[in-house]
Amino acid sequence: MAQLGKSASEFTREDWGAIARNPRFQELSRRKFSFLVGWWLVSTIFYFLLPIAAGYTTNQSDFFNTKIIGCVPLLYLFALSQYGLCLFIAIYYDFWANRHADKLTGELLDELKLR
Amino acid sequence: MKRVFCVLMIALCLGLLIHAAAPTTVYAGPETVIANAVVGQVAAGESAKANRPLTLGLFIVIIGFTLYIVYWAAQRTKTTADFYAARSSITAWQNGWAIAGDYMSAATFLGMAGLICLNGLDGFLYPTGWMVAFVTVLLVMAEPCRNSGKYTVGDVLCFRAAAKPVRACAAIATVCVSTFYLTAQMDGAGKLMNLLVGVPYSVSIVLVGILIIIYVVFGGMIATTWVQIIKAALLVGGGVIISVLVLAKLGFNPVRLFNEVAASTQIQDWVRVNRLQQAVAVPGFDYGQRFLEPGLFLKNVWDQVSLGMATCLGTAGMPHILMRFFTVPDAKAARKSVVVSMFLIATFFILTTVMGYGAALFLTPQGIVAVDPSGNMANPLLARYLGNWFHPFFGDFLQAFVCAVAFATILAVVSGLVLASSAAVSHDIYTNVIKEGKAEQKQQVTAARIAAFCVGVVGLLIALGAENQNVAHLVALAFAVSAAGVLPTTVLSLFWKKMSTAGICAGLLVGTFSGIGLVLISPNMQYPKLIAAGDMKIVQTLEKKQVGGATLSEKDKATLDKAKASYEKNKDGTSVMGLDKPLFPLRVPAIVCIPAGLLSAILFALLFPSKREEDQFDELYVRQVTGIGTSAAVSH
Repeated sequence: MAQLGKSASEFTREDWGAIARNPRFQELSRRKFSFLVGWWLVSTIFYFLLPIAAGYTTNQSDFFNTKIIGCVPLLYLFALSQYGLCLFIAIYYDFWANRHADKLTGELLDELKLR
Repeated sequence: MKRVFCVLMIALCLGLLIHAAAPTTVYAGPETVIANAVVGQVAAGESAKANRPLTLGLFIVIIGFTLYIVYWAAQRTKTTADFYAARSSITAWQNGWAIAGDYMSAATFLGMAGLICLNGLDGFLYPTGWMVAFVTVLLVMAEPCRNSGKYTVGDVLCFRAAAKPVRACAAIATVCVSTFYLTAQMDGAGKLMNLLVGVPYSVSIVLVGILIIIYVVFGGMIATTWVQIIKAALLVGGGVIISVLVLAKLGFNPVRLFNEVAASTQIQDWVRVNRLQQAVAVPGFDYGQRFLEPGLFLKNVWDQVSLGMATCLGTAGMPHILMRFFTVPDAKAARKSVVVSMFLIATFFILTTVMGYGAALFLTPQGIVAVDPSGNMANPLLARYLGNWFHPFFGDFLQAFVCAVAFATILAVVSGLVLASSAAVSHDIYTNVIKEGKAEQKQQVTAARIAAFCVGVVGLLIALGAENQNVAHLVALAFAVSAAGVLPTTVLSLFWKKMSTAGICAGLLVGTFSGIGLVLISPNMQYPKLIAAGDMKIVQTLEKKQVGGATLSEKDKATLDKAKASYEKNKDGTSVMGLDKPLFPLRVPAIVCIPAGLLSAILFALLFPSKREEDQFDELYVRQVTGIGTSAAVSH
């Protein structure tokens, strides 16, 4: 299915449908979708543990009030780990997208002769 | 004509500044008392306020520099692509700094350090959701929006839906979100300037308003972007300087900061008396350690979770953040810019622990509260204290610098908001609904400038009217509306084939108005009968004391009279909605209105499906995943 001599603004609905059924495109969208949903769920669930943990930490002897280093309590480190996870996801996604998603997109565009 | 207008505006600004800089005798009375209270805590310091000439000088430097950028940008702003999206020519690094500049408000800079300084760990837990929110922005919104939109979120939403109703609803939601956030920011700006340098509320509102209008009307997105970049650099730079100085005092050992906070007797007293309301210490209870533990500020778990939902999902729907993705050339740059901004924001948020605990340790919460009960002065006072370590002039300078950073922060955030809502009004409503997309370039740019001017003036007037109102809850409301209206509809129309016009409109309207409605019946409003009940308690206690034979002190007598008057005034009153007490128990409505917006969008899309829109899904989906046709969309 070559799209010779056509730019995207001239595509018809059938052209877009054909791209959507292209196996390369389907692999790209499937991999992208599962990556995004998976990591989004991980970060969101991990985040909501924080307000819940904080809300149910009321006594000085509670688990999240355990002193870890000096006087630094576990809950502070837990809050810091939220930043760690966010930045990890950011770097990992950038790495993954550059390495896999952009490569697949490039292959698709080459096949369609769009670049 | 343009030049004359510009010169007039600048003259007016300078006039206001000079008026503000003129020495006043207003704060001789209570000010000296406050200053004395601080002197007790802060070794050297004649007044809590910043050195005025120095601060205003720095303000003028910032204003002059930004106006020069506006002048430079104005010559490059000719088309709508220039005005709304800086011709998509901003690089990923620049955009990353600009997103950080757009996102971190004065509340972030001054408020968070204050919260930590007064409430300990809770002040640090509070902003975590603001950080996590960027994962949603990065994974779900940045690239698809860049690939399928042009200038506004309305472009993304109406890609395959009926343009007129969807654009109208999207514009309503955008303008609501921006106005709420804008009012809160402007109000904060007025109060902060008054607190920091003693410029009266109305003067600073007018000054900020005029500057914003100049930035946006003449400079469009190019000038706004650079204002945000400068502000982000100042903000992160200021945060790093203060934190390094705090750590330098502690031998660059962050753990020692925690240990010394827990060991400080002043902080122990503060926690026991002011936070736990215990007159006598409970033996064996570690009050210093309590400061490092949660629960001194945030008490209701579900309010917390609701706030987390609002911030986590709301950021990804904030129009001024989304608009930034249209300023970069492609999806790759959009992605990289979010990563850059996440690093900047994380750095700053983590440093607030050092600043907040540093202020608590060196200046004590009591000293900070004596200057301002909200704690907003923690950072400026800490800056002065640290600067005085080297030289008194350096202390003055550092405090003035912190004030100038707060000022630049306000300018950057408000100009981003004004630009986003003017784009909603002119691009969505004027160009695409009224003119049906047939307006000339020149007409469109003029309309955009007029819209920006009107939005700026309306924001200014609302902020002037809000002087004596408590508008802090408007921030949570803006995030809740954006999370309930904009985000679900955008995500569904990007990823779900069956999404239709009816679903988008229903989602946007239900999300927006359920948020507003819930806040109107929530504890954020004033309930005169509850105030009256509080007054009654005071009256009863004091009268009992009187009956018991004790004579009341002058202070108690004044309190009694005040409570009686307040009781009379409030006993028959009802809230704005005619309620005696709040119907909805939470301050942040997100936990209810997000599911409401999402479900109504799904329900209406299933009830009123559209064959044509389903057929067009392939095009939207291919475009948003691959970016095919993006450059074509920008150049036409």
